[in-house]
Amino acid sequence: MIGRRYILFLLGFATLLGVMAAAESAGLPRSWIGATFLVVTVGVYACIGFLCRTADEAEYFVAGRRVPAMYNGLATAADWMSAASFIGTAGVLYLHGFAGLAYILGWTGGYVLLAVLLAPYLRRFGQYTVPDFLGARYGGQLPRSIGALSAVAVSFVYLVVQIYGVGLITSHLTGFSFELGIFVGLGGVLVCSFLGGMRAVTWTQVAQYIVLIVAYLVPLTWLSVKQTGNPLAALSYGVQLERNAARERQLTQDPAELEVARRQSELAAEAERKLQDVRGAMARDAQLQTQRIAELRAANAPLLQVQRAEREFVQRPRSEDEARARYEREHERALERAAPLAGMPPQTLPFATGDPTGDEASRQRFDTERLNFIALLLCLMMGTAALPHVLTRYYTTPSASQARRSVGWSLFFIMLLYLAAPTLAVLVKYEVLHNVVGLPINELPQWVGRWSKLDPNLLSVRDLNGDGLLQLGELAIGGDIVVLAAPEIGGLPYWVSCLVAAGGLAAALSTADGLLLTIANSLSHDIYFRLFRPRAAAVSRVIASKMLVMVVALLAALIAALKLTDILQFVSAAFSLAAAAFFPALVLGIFWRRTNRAGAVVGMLTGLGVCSWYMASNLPLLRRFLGITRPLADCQWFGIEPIAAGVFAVPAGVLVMVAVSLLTRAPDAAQLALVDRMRVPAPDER
Amino acid sequence: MRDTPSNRLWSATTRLTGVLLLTWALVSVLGPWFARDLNQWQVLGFPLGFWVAGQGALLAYLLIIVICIVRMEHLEARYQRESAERDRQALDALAPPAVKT
Repeated sequence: MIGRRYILFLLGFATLLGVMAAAESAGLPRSWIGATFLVVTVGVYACIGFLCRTADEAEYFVAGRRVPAMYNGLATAADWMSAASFIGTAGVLYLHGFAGLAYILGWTGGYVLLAVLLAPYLRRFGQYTVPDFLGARYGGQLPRSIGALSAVAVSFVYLVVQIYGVGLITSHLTGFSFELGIFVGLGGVLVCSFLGGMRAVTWTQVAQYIVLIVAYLVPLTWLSVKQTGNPLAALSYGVQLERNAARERQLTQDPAELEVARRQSELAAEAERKLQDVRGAMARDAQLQTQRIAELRAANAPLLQVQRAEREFVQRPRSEDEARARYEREHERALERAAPLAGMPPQTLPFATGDPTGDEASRQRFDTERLNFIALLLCLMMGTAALPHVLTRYYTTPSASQARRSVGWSLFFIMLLYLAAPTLAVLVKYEVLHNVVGLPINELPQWVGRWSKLDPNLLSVRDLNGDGLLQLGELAIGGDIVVLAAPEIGGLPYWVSCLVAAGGLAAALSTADGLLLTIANSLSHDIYFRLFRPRAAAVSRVIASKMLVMVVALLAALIAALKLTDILQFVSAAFSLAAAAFFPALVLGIFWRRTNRAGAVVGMLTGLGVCSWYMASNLPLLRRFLGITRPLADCQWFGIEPIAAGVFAVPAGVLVMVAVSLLTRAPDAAQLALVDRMRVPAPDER
Repeated sequence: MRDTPSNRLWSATTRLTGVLLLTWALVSVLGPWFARDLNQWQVLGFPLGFWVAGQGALLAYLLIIVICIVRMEHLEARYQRESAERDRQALDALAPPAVKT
């Protein structure tokens, strides 16, 4: 029954693609194609949300606990794969090669922890939220409140970034402004979570998974057939890896590339000089810019060039701090791009910054990078297993063993995308290295102009050696467009670009839905109902949650509209925080009967404390904000990056939790009975 | 520890959990740790270290979960049988079977 509906949906979606392909060749304007994709997909999500509307408590919080394992797997996959997974992963792999695989490993390996340690037991416990479990297992209000507040904090940061992604893609699809894009996309999110809670979100997420996976695999398969003739891209891209490596070897020897790299180091040196006297440099820059605009106008240069120069002048930094930040960025970027292949390591070389057979310093760099890789992937895994919006999904299956099966399905559906991401990165790199590098600068394909106009951080081209040809070192590509622009880079029709954008939108919307619900439920169920109004009726709890969904969504949209790009660095930090807050308390709560309230509370706070302290003393942004002046090298432990703070926080949390539990009274009989009940199936289970 | 069906299930569960977690940890840590050395070999046209981190480990994770599902469902089914059997015996002990006339 359900299956037939989604097969119909898939067929309908395929028809839409066919119609759009036909319409494009018949000459339908581009903006119409983009708008159709936006309206149709968001419209379908809204319809599903409307059809699944509910005010019943169990339906609203856990979809009535009758989502079959496979469908819950599909929904979890969509819930899990965020805008960052869809848009960003292939970009990271394109730019950083092997180092990006830490994300692929971390975001899949976490599901092993979920299946083995958490999902079936939490499902057997029942109830509605993760803080519910902490409350029942440890008793008292403190563990529940710490859990609820951590869930809200972690999910909110993540939510803002999703809504940012929604705004970016909507404006890319329709040409609306970024802010309008946010609110249009927000409408799609709200219809689902507001009307139907978990039930509507679940069934919408299944449809969103279908859209996002089709959107990822269609351009990938197309590119693969075009390049190698083999539609099974993930199995056959080894050939392209080798061709890329050969081309890369050729480019590292190329005299023009070497000349560009030399120019980049000059630029880096220049930025460094500017940093010596920021005020003077600002004045000189402004003077040079006005002079250049005047020259261009006098020489009757093309309008586009004049406009670009004018835009640069208008957007110049106004305050000394802004200018300093910009020069620092310029310095860093030029230095990075002065390295061979514009700073991109060879695709398959692990820990490329160092060399285990080199001198002392490069051996050191190799070891540090390797250690960081392992630390990051462990943090991502423990964070994956501890993120509340993923854990709640396993409350919706009919039984514990269905929850376990559902984790397997989740990983299967997630893997389809994560196996494709490194492949897409390599195929796109092939296009760039073979078909774009070496073109005359004024004959570059259209997408170069379009993306660099949209945002020079996403793409910029500058003829540094003045030979009129594009060198690899002259093309700066931001990671975020590797997926979004892949169809254009590979020369596929425009409707494929719109399909990819619709897929990115599905990824962002589905994750935003899940997060929004988790935040609203934590606030309404765990804080309002459990702490302040224990006698509130079920209906009023659902209404409270719905109101909070609105408020939280608007708040997140307002923050996203500020375009705080700095917030991106906190997303990966969210994994470490989630791991520190939840992982030890959940796992020990199930596997070690002796864990008690005091241990859990002190352990969770220790984990959160260690994690926050390490990040505060190591993240440049927070260091500046808090005025920490101790040298960075002294703040780091074993050279671990702040993003992986969880590798210290989780063990610290576990140690403290065990020690404090042993020093205080054993948990009471009711808590022990709860543990025993979770460990074995009930007589009527399944 | 008393030899009851639930204790038997739980000790089998913890043993299985231990083995699965150990496999998970070995795959996750050793694969990337020795990736540079593994890269001297080729598999399916990929350098081995890159393949393990990009595809092999993912397949291993799926395999671990599948083993977990199959083994746990087996253990839980055995537990259900054993505890049903035990309940029946307890009932029988309470009320001796009626004498046939």
